[in-house]
Amino acid sequence: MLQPRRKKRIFPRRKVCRFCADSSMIIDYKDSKLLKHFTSERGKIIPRRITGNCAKHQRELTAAIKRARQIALLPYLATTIQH
Amino acid sequence: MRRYELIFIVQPELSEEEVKALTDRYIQIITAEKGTLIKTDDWGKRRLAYDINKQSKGTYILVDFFGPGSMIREIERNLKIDDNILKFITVKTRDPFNPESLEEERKKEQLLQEAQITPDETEPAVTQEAVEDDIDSEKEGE
Repeated sequence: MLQPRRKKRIFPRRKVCRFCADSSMIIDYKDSKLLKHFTSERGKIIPRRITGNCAKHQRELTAAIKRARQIALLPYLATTIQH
Repeated sequence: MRRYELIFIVQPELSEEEVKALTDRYIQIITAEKGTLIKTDDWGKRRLAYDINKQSKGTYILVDFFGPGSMIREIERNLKIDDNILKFITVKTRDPFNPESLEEERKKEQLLQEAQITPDETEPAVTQEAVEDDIDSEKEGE
């Protein structure tokens, strides 16, 4: 866990890795719905300082997202919103 | 023995029978290369996250199988040649793989399926609506 810096007065709520908290959540590259939660609107992978994932699960997650991109389940980049 | 998972995307124009025949062909290759099929899963026609060969849709087929690692080269060689395949990916899911562990897994899966009934895929429609709402509110703001 990152220690909140001194300069910042507002202490962010301590985030817990969602995958550690719920062991039934499995990271799978085929589960595009789940992976979408961890990508931005642009299709970028959200850093773990924001999502609060632990290093181990973030590693698995990035690998899964990259695999999902390969097989066109997730976009490499999303420029415009598709209608 | 290693366990693999193969997903390939088939041209959307192909009919169900054609897709089935195509899948059977690859299953034959797997068995010819001393692999054993565990299951196949047809995900149906899906929208691709990005266009492949100017196609925005494709039929996803998942093949779960195990066998010696040497068979992958032959399977992938065939997939590369095939014009009906838009894209494919092979993922090693277990190494080494013990075929005897399959039975246990089957039982577990059955229990899981009984425990939870997966809801239908309605999410894409919902998100699209949400996006439209956002655009509307922006316009009002201006």
